[in-house]
This record gives sequence, C-alpha cells and structure tokens, in this order.
Amino acid sequence: MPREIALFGVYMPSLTLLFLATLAGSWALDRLLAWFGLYRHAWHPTLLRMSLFTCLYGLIALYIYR
Amino acid sequence: MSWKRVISVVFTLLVFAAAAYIVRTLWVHYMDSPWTRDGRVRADVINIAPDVAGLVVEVAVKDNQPVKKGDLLLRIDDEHYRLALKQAEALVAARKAQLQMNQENAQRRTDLDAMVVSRESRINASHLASAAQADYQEALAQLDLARLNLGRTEVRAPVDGYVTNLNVFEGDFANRGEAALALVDSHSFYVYGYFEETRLPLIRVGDQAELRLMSGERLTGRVDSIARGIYDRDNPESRELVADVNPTFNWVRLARRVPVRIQLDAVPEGVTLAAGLTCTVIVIPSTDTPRPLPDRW
Amino acid sequence: MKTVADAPVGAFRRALGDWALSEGMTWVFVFKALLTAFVALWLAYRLELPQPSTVLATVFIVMQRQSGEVLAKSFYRIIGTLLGLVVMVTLIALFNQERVLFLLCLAIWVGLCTAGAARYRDFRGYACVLSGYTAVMIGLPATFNPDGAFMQALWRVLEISVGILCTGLVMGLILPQTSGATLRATLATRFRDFAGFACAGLAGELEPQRMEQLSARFAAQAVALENLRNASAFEDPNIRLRSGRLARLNNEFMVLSTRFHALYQLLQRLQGEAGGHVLEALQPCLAQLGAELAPLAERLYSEGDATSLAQGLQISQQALMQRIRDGRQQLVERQADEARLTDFNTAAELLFRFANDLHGYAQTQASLADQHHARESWKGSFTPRANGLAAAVAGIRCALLILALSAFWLASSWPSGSTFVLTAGLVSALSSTSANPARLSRQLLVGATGSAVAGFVLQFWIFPWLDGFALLYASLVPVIAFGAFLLARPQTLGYGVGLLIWFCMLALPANQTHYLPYHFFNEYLAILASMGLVVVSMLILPPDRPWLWRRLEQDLRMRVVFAVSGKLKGLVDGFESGTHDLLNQAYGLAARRPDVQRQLLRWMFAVLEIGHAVIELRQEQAALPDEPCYAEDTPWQLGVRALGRALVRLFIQPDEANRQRALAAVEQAIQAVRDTPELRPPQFDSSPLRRVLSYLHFIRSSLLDPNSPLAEGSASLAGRVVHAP
Repeated sequence: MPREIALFGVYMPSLTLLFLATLAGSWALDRLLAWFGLYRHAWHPTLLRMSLFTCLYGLIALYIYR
Repeated sequence: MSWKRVISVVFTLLVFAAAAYIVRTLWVHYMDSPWTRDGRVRADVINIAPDVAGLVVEVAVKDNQPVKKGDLLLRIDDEHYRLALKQAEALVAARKAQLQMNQENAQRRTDLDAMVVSRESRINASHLASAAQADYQEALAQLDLARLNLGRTEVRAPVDGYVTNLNVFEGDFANRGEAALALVDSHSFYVYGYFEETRLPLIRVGDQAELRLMSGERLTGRVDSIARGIYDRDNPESRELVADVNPTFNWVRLARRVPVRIQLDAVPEGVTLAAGLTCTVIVIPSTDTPRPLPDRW
Repeated sequence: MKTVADAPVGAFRRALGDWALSEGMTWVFVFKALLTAFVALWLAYRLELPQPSTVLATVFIVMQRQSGEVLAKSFYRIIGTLLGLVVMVTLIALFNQERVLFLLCLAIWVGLCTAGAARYRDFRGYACVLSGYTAVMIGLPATFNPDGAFMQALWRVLEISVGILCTGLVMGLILPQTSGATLRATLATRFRDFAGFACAGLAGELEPQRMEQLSARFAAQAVALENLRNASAFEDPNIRLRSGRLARLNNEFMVLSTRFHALYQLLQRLQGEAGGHVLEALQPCLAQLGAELAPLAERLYSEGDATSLAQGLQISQQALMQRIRDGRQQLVERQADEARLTDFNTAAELLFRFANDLHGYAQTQASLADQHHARESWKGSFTPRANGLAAAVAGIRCALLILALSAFWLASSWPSGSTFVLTAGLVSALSSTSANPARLSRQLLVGATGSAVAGFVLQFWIFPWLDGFALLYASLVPVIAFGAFLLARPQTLGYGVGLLIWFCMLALPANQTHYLPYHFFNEYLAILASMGLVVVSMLILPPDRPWLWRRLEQDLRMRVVFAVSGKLKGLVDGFESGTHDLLNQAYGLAARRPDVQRQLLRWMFAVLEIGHAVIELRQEQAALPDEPCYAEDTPWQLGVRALGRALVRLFIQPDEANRQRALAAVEQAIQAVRDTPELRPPQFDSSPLRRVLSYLHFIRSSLLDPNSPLAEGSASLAGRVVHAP
C-alpha cells in the first residue's frame, strides 16, 4: 500500500483515508462488543474503547510504514 | 475487590498498554526514521541562446523532442554572415595586396644604395610594411570571425536531452544571448529530499534510497551529498553588515529542513521523469552500522 | 468494631467524600480544562497550524462537565463546521468581487442558523450555531483575500478538529464524569420525588402549590433528560443499547405524572363538593396504592426495587379491582345518585389506569437491568415543539445586527471591522440556544472585558519576559484556571465562556509572537463594542417580552387542537413531549414573572387533562368492536364529535360563551352515551361505553373546575391574547 494516495487530484497521506475507514470499522466493532455486553465487564469502558481503536489504527499504520 | 474486577482492570490496562506500545512504534517509525514526503526530482536545465543575432529561418526541433548531442536545433538567417564573410575575404585580399606592395616597396628601398634613398624613407617603408602585415593579420582574423559567425548560425544541442519550453518560431528575430528554449539534460536527473534536521544523523552519504513518485512508480538511488547550508529565516537580512535578529522566538521550536541530494540509479524502462516532480524519499540506512539517534529529550 | 478514636477519622473521610462530590468535581474539571488546553496548544504549535487561537477557542466552546455532552457537542460541531464550510466556500466563489452582496448573504445565512438554533435548542441547535459561527469565522477574513479562502477554510476545519479531539480525549479518559451516571441519578431522584408526592397526594395531604412546583420541575427535567439521553448514547454503549427504553421511560413518566395530576384534581374536586361518600368509598383503593409507593419515597431505588415494584403491582392489580367493586357496592348500598356513581367510576378508572401506568413504568425501569429487552422496540419519540415566531425573531435580530455592523465596517473601512462583525455573529449564535439570551450575552460581555484586561497584562508585561512553551503555559494557567472555574458553575457559565473564548481568540500568541499594540487595541475595541451592541439589541428587541409568552401560551392551548385532530399513531408521546417542551420554554422566558409562570402552569394542566382525556376517548373509539350500538352514526358518536369541535373552539378562543357551549356539548354527549343500550356487562374492562362515559365525565369535571384558567373566562392573559392578533 502506498504511503500517499492521490484522491480526486488531492495528494494526501493514506493514513487520513485509513483513519476514516478505521473509524467506520471500529464503530461497527464497538456496536458488536456492546451488543454482546462485553463493556459491562470493562473497568474503564472509554479507555478500553479508545485503546481498541488505537490498536486497530496503529496496526494498519504500521503495516503501511513497515 | 473481587477477582472479576481485578481481571477487568488488568484486561483494560493490557489493551491500553498494547495501544501505547503500538503508538510508540508508530511514532518511532514516523518521526525517527529517515524519510520525507517533501522530495523533488531535479535535473540540469540548459538555456539555449543563439550566439549570433538574426532572423530565425528554421526551427529544426519540436517542443519536448529528444535530441542527441550535436543535433541541429535552430538555424539563423546566414545571409548577413555570408556577406560578411565575403566582405572579410575581400578585405583580406585588399590587405594582402597592400601588404605585398608595402613589402616590395620596403625591399626595394633596402636594396637601393644609401646615397639614393634616405635612411628615413627606408625605415618608413619597413614600418609601413609591418603595419600592412598587421592589417593583413587583422583582416585574416575578421575572416575567421565571419566564418565562425556563419557557423554559429546553426544552433546545435550541447548535450543529450529534451527540448523544453520551445518558445521560438520561424521568422522570430533572435537576439544574441537571449534564451530561446531550454534543454533538459537527460543524463543529469537527481532528487532533492528535504529532510528535517532531526533526521539528519540517520543519513550518511552512500546510503541506499527508495524513491516513490506521486504516480506510484518506484526508483532507487543513493545519497550523493548533504547540503551544507540553508538560509536563516530568523536573520533575514543583514543591513550595514550587522545581523538583523528577530526579537521574538517560537514558543515551540520547529525543525528546519535540509536538502539531501540523491543520485538516481538506472531509471527503469517506461518511467517518465521530469524535473520538478514530487516524490517521497525513504533512506535505507546500511545495516552494518546501526545508527542510534542521539537522545533529544 | 468501632472505637471512639475511629470516629473523627470516619467523619473526616465522610467530609472528604462530600467534598469530592461537590467542590472536588469543580476542581477536577479545572484540572482537566488545564490539561486539555496544554495538549491542544502544544499540538497547535507543533503542527504549525496558522491560528492556534482557533484550536483553543474550540476547546473551550466544546468543553462541558460531562463527557457524553462533550462527545455529542463535538459530533454536531464537526457537522456544523463542515456545513458552514461548504456554504462559505460557495458564497465566496459566487461573490468574491462584491463585498456588499457577500455580506448580505452572510447575514441571511447567520440569521437562518440562529433561528435554527433557537428553534431546536438541543444538539441539532448546536450544529446550527456552529455552522453560523464557522461561516463568519471563515467568511469574514476571506473577504480580504478570496484567493486563499479555500486553504484558509481547510486550516480552520483542521484546527477545529484538533481542538475537538483533544477535548474529547481528555474529558473522556481522565477522571471521566459520565453523562450516563448523571442520567441514572436524575431518573432515580425524579422517581423518588414523584413517589413521595404521589403518596402525599393519594393520602390527600398534598398542597396545590407544591404540586405546581413539582410539575414545573418535572417538565424541565423531561426536556433535560431527553438531551442527556442523546448525549449519553454517544458516550456509553450500554446506554445506547437502552436508548429506546430510556426514551420510553421518560414518556411513561410524563404520562404518569399527567395521570396522577388528573386523579389529584378529581380528588380535590370531590373534596370540595358533597363527594364525601365517594371519597370514603375510594379510600381503601387509594390507601393500597399509597402503601405500594411509600417505601420508594424514602430512598433512591436500587436495581431490585423496580422489579419488586413491578411484581407487587402485578399481584395487587386484582386486589385493586376487587376493592373498586366493593367501593361501588358500598355506594350503591348507600343509595347514592347517578352523579355520585359516575364520579366514583371516573375516579376509580383513573386510579386503575394510574396503577397500570405505574406498573408499565416500573416494568420499563426494571427492564433497564437487562442488556436486551423486548421493551426496547418502542416506536414513540420525543417531539420538541418550539414557537416558530420566537425563533424567527432571534434570526432576524441577528441578521439585522450583522447587516448594520457590516454597513458600518464598509463605510468606515475600520481595519478591525471584520472582528466587529464576527463577534456579533458569534455572540448571537452562542446566546440563541440559551434559555435566557439577554442574560447570557451580558455575561459574555463582562467575561470578554475581563479577557481584555488579562490579555493586555499578559501580552505587554508578561510574554516579553518569557521564553519557551513551559513558561508561556505557566503564565496562561491563572487565566485558564479561573475561566474553567467559572465555566464549571451553571450560574457563571457565561462569564467563563466570554473570558476564555475571547482571551484565546485575541490575546493568545501565535507560535512566533508579533507584538502589535495597535492591532490588539483595535481588536478588543471591536469585540467589546460589538458585544455591547448585541446587548443593546437584546434590550431593543428583547426575547422575553409579554407578546412572546402570550404566543407560547397560545401554542400551549393549541395542543388540545392537536389532540383532537392529530393522527392517532404516536399521538400520546407527541402530545406529552411537545406540551412539556413548550411549557419549559415559556417558563424560562417568563422567569421574571412568577404570576405569568403560574398562569402558564395552570394552562398546561388544563391542556394536559383535557387533551389526554380526548386522546384516550379517540383511542377507545378507534378500538370499538363491530356492533350496531358503536356504529359511526349513533347519537353518542355524533355527540362526541360535536364535543371535539366545541373543545377546539374553546381552546382557540377561551371565553365564557365557548365554555358554556363546550359544557353543553359534553353533557349532551354524556346523555347520549347513557341512553345507548349496550349488550355488555357494565364494567370498565368489558364495556367500552362505560369507559367513554368516564372520559366524558372527566372532561366535564375539568371544564367545571373553578381553579382552571378556563373557568375565569376572561383570564388576564387569555383576554389579551384573544384580541391581540
């Protein structure tokens, strides 16, 4: 995957687009986890959700930059 | 505190730690590895200007045409220069005649008896012959010049390259020394990567570099050299040879960028390079000498 | 075992706990505000954003005590920002040569946004505010260099996003004060208050005054809870899963309190007349229900309480029905007349329905314990109602103000003219969502004056001595901490917002500071003058004039028309939520006139009682079995329709003649129902006509109620309204 993507003539880092994609993906994951009630057992749900999103996004970003 | 709670706390913290680790790795990769998005393809661009003035009678190339060294680019109307050549030839003939006459005169006086010709007259004749010799030499030089000018009415490519920005047409009047077209040297392509100063310690001359053009093509190259000076923006002009230092300074200091010149390896078939293209430069430090960044914190 | 020595330690810990819950929260908020500002400012400098001030101003605009509200606000703020961006780029593209046309369009757009904000007043209103605000932020500076407008707009969006991101992260992650917890606490307190007041009411010990106070509070809470629910759904997945049930709970509570109020009114009326026997016969039933509620009035309910209440009500329903039958028997034995029996039947039916509603509420409350529940699929919704005229006035005022200031700017070519116009747009937008815009804009003015002083001192005496980000931030800490402290209290919110936002916008240095005293003074002069003008415009075209709450009162009365003629599907929740919302607005606008507030409240009760009875009547009509005595053209059906028309006329124009007409219509309908022969046994649960009769009777009794604003015929407010339009 290239580090930069030209979209409609705008040259932008792929990370920007992936951020949006990850946002959508982690939203779906979030709903799924909530549906199964996993957050009820979490200690600090916001921290957990934030960390999950960061992990997802970070892994994708690392895949690009490695 | 129940076991369940302990497990939930530990689990949450584990995920948090994983996130923190990933962010750190990403940071190191993004911030502390020698790459930059700010790269430019550059090349030697030769401004072609005719050496002689005159009407352009022929433009032998089209815009963006590849040319070999020595190919004809422009032809300037040579009528003037042919006439000038004839004029010069005529002058040479005239001077030659003059020279002969003067030389013969001088010879004759030398041969005559000193009683017949005054010494003055003899010396004068000899000098006149020398001056005529010089005049003749001058006329010869003018002849050479006229020949040269005539030759220079044909403008030829000094290097292999591509005609660019062709801005001269048949019938234009070309002035001497005024650039009419640009020729991009096809063997001179290189890349300038503008690297933040924090990453410079990671770069050594001779390191491999990977270049990605905006269109997606990849090239390889080698670090050729690192620029040893950039302009100081905080000290913009020196008036009366003293520094004009800005009284305020940034609250948060930002890294400046230093150009690093990358020599291209062989350009793959089918890649169209043009001076001024944008590219991403990733320098791959040679593995044998690990280069830790100095501790900046 | 506790020893004497432990006592002070325990007291100290208790005191510490109390402090942590009250003052502690404020200090935590101040700390979080400082942290957010630090991170946001550093990022703004580090990322070389052209205007760090926008980042920090955004931080303080979005900042709320509760993390859910921060997230909800942020979400709508991004939407509003993008909307404003699109509109502005279009406008700039169209009118970059014509500054006059451009400013005209800008004024219209900001006016529309302000009107929208006043119209919705929830988070959608916030999106409106922000799209107007972004429009002026991007649009005005762009009039000087239209070439750079697009890039400038993109930078603004980036800056706003950075501010939002920092605030969301810090507020959500560090010592979060979740909206979900507040939501639960509010629900529990509200039910406790309600249980207490229902117990007192059933026992006949409730003062009408207290009833009014509590009802006004419940109306305000119903609106606030709806917003809180929306905000919490953003933050907490558990709340989101229960969102439907919470909305339903809120609605059921409104129905419950309306029902209780109706019952209470009826009991009051019975006390007044010779209804002693009826009350006596009803007493065991009242006592039974009171006993069920009594334990819940003492404490905040726990998870289990709702379940046990639901079960208890389920079991006692049969007993209640038996008691009602016994009571009626008792009355019959005492040879009570027809009117008394109808009174009893109506009261008993109300009581039974109250018990039923309570049961439903308890079930919904109990269902919250589960992750998924059948009660989640609820089709109703909270429908806010606002007066379009009030919103339009807000919009027009804002547009006119911007036009006037722009004209001044163009005429004087003042270099800070754009700030002058911008501030007017900002203040109008910020204050339009508030319940009391005039007060908020005054507070903003005072806050901004404070920021001018602080900014002046810092810029010219402190910053020149400083070097480096750490020192800069240290010098900003006092201002930010003080502002955040003001921001944390609802009553000083406006001062905090004014101080922080305008301090950040004008006095915050860019990464490379330029000391421009003339510019600084010009800008501050511009914002203070502009804010002063906004305050003056609020005095000239004030939002809380009598005509406005008269309009709102009329809107309130028109709810009965809605109940009579609206579509039956979703009518109950639409009616309840809209009416409560209207009252809440009108109550806020009439804050300085307690007499008006009381009058509004009485109107709300009249509207709710009669509207509710009408809706139930219509529901009954819709569900009639297919038998000849229920046919469309029977005399009682015609009578009910005539009653509907009479009620509509009465509530459009409440005077004595119309009241008499409505009374006549209701009596005629009652007679028609009584005369209709029915084949079913005459009990509530089996006879539709019996139920119809009790609704009609209830409408009649509330028309006759001497305390109702209708009874006065030409009530002070109503009389004027009639002649005004």
